[in-house]
Amino acid sequence: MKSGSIPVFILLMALIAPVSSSAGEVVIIANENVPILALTGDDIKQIFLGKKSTWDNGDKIVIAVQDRTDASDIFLTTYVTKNAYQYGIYWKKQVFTGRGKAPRSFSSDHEIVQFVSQTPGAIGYVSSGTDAGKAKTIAVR
Amino acid sequence: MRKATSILIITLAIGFFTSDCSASESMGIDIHGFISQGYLKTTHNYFYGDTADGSLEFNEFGINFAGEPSDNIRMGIQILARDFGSNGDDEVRVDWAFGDYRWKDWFGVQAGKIKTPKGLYNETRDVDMLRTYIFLPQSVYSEILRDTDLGLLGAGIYGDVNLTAGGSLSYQIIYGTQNVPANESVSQALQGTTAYRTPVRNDSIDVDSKYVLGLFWETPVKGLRFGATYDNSIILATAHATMSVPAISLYEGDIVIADFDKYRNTVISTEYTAGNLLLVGEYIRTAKKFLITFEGVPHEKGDYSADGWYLGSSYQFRDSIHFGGYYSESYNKTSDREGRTITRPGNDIAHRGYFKDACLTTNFIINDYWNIKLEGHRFTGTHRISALDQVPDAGGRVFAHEDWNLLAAKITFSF
Repeated sequence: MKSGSIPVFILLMALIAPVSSSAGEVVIIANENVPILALTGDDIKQIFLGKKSTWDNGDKIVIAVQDRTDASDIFLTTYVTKNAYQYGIYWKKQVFTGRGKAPRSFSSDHEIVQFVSQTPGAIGYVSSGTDAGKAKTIAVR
Repeated sequence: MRKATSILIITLAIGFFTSDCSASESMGIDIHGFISQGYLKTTHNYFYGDTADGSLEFNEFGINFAGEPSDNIRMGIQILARDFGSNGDDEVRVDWAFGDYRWKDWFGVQAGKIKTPKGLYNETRDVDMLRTYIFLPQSVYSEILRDTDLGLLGAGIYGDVNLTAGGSLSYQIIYGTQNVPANESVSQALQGTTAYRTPVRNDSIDVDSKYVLGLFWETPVKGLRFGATYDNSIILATAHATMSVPAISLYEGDIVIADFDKYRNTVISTEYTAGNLLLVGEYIRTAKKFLITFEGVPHEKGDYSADGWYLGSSYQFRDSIHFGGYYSESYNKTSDREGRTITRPGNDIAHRGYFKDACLTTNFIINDYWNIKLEGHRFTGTHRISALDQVPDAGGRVFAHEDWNLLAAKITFSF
């Protein structure tokens, strides 16, 4: 291999290498006024795709997501069966056809805990071990 | 054009000068937008505009405003301008504008101008950054028929039904009418895609009524979904002849009426996503029943179906590079795959009866707001392009080439 080809080869390998993601768990959290203690995986998917928009007591569900964090990668692939790009495209489709409003996006566990704690009807997710503050932890059935 | 420029400037200003480019919000109103500019070059024939010499007449920009005055009510509007060769000319139009009352997740009501489902991707066909390809497969998402596929002025119902172990089902039913520009490529399709270059000029295309049904099933199998859509229109198109074509008894000044009792599209779709890989396949069947008259004298009666299909895939390498491709076929008549019956006096071009398209594409995601695409097409046949755009060659022939290629490039900014 010519020396000039090596950087090109390394660049190509870097482009096609699989995206790494740290192993770990995520925890679902919700505002303390949310009238549930547990959700199924299917419920979580319906909620984060905007197909379930109200809680059983009629209150509006407010979705909070994380922007390109490890917790977000784990959550989206596990529960929503989409990667971060596909999830972003899904919501852009809702926005550009007038069907929905994209979820609020946050860059850290701390920010999402704060938002969920202070927003009635809010639900989000954080890395396992994060202090949920005034938010409550939702069990997954 | 001046209005279009104003919208472009506003869109750019909002996009660039908001602190968070991913969306702008003012007084509870969400604002989003996009701007695209493309380039097209064909080896032969004209793919909407003067593409044989290379064309920059390929752009679109849109901006939308939406708000939720209460938990169950949503209102919004999107305005769109586009230029695609001889179509659009950057005229500003309302793309969608409706009020939406969602009573339950399984039942909502909409009224206004509503985007209509047709296959999996029709509603977002003008929003470039939502897909890997520049051009959706012409078999299902024909550019020549775009104006009849877009939005419906009317009312409808929709909902999402959770089937628990059976996945989930989304449905939509819309009834209304359409405003279809009479001077653009759809007129060529309605008047019959003949080889004659613009023998008629449409005065009006009146969509008396149209209804659309859409059903989408997210199956319990991870990443697998199916779709089925159906629409039916009653259309009356009125034109006058701009040149005489004695071979078909058409003379300059004749009033030409195309009366469609039936214009039905059925699309069956499936999509499978596994990690970064997406596979998709769709089949369309269009049933038409019409009568064309010249000066009140019946000229052609039609009752037949057209069909088409495609298989496609895309793959996401890391976050920044997506590769994709598809193979698509469409036919003017289901019963005539080789275009034999389309030939008649003055029109001996059988390849007007079919259109086959092999496409490869690359989408570079620069960041959340910018992406660049590069795409190549190998075409066989000319069924899906407009007679309006063609320029006769030195021998006076249009559609002279059955095999031809298209190179397309596009850059998009969205927020």
